[in-house]
Amino acid sequence: MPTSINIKAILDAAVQREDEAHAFYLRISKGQSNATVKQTFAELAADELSHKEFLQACLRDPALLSKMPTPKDYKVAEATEEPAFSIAMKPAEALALAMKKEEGAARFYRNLAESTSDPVLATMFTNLARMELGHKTRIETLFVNIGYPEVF
Amino acid sequence: MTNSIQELQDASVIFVVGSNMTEAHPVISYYVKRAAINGATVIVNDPRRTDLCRWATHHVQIKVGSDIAYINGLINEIFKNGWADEEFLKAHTENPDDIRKWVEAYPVERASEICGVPAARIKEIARLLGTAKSASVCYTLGITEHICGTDNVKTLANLQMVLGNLGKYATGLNPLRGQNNVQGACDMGALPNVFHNYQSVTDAKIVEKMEKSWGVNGLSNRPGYKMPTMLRKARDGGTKVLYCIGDNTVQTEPNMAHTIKEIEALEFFIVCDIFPTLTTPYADVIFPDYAWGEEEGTFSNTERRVQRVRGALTPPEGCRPSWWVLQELGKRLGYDLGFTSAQAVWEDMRRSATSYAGITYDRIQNVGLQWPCPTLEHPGTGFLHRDGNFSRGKGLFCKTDWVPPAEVTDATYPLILSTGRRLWHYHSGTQTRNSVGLERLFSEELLEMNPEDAARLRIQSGDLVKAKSRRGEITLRAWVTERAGPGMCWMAFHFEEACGNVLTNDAFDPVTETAEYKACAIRVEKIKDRETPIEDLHRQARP
Repeated sequence: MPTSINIKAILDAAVQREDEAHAFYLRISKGQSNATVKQTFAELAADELSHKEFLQACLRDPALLSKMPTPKDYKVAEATEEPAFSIAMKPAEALALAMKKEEGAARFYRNLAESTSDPVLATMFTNLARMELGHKTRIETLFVNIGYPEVF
Repeated sequence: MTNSIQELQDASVIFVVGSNMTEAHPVISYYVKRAAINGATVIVNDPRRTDLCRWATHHVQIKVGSDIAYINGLINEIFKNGWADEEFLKAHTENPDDIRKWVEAYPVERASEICGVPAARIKEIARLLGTAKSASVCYTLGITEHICGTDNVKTLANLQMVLGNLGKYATGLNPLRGQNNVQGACDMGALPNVFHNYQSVTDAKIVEKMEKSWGVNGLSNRPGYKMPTMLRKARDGGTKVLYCIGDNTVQTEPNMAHTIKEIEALEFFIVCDIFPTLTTPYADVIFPDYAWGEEEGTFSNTERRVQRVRGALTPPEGCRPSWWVLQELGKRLGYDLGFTSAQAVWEDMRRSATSYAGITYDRIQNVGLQWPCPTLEHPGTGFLHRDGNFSRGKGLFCKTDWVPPAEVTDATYPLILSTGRRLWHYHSGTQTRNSVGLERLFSEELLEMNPEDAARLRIQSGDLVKAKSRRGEITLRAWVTERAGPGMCWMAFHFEEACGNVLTNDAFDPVTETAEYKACAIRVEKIKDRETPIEDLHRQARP
């Protein structure tokens, strides 16, 4: 079945993207001077591994993706500028970088969903976009809690 | 506040310090009373027996200005008994061993000696805090209006971090702000070192952003003066012009005689207010302002909730809203802000304030929203630092040491005076003392004295007394009451006829430049026996 082959290929690619994100967060975690930021990036790296495990489970049972709840989209990432990468990032900047990355991932899958004429693939991409949106919302919540300090 | 007002009703322990909330924040006190009815442990820590003590399970009568010693004593006892939240300390704080070692200098015996609370009582309070499921701390000006106000706040933050009581529902460190919209004023940048939304004026990127937003060049990147410095510099020409909006400076600053000299030294003084005050006679120009109930806009309360304020009455002829006056001044100085309404001002601010960006007039028609609320889709934020995450990363303990008030008692001035607010009046009384009903309920200021001190001076309630400090003297009637702790007197600053700020000390916290309104040395002398009793005072002062 061409569609099922495509679905496997898509999920494999998604798994690979999570692997790449895991490696990215680990790499930048190592260079950070702030212990909390280092830890935040390490935790984000671990998150990507759990996302990968979820996608691998989806390879066995693709219906899992469609069972995910639809997260609320507060669009905080969209309203936030992507911080410049440095070795001395602040905790809020680390989270801003991560939520921008998740925003990009969700947009990537949304664009694929819109560009395919195959309804099965479109549903798969939409579900993947929803998964990334969930990750974005989680990081946005962490960001809002610390990103607007009352300092005077 | 790190948390929300309503959460107080669900707290298992509420530690209230330096807060006469039933009189100064009566709405918030309802939630504390509700918690008390539901079985919460309510600990009131105050030199005065405030009305909240009727609802409290414990009243700890600490000496004026001894907060740091008392709280460090509590923290020491919490560590000693293994009640600290070690998991929180390890995961969310940077230097727990520093504070563990630091408070060893405050064994309960030493803390007791300084704060006047028996050691056993301090141990009991430490146990209540240390073994509670969660505890919320509320504080007000009794903490901040000291020369060590900043350190007082840091010590409370230490306590809550040691207990792991931050980033959770119904816990937190909750300052009940001193005025209804002081949170909003700070949020809007009515501070010398930040634009609105706490954007630093020393950050070149922020300055550039604001210049672009307002279409101007050359915005200053130097912090301005705090109010005491503004006034002090008037005397050496460093401040030439002062523009006061809704501030009765003469009556509300400490050491009134000194304040008047500073204001008289100004080259030009503008006041914008709703009625004549003690300050307006010194003004070169007075702009008649809109009053509450006449103006449109927003107030942001102490839980970061932005609320709509609507004009319900037609203002008197000739009055204008403050924003309009500022805009007209701007035009004459060559810059037209171009605003047409309070809403237009809000929208302009919202464009460049990320934490407010999601709050529009439409969204707060009925119920306000709590910032951070960065987008139109965001529901606002009830409590901050969820799961123990802080803006700087891990929480940092600050080592704080007790210092006595700037002025202590001696043979000439043997009593300590604290000042504050009464239920029926607000601040310098510009609004409330022009209300016939409130004047009937509480029509004169009274000097609260402890019965022991009053007996020694042969003073009874209603006697006319003179209260004198190194800075001035006032005459008023005495109210002999257990509300004042032994060795202390208390009064408000609402009444210009007998204003506490004639007596108060203009010594300031070095960081915030907040004056030590809560401690100055005075002596009290009887002038005349009472002519009429004031028997209904207890009813009048109780909400």
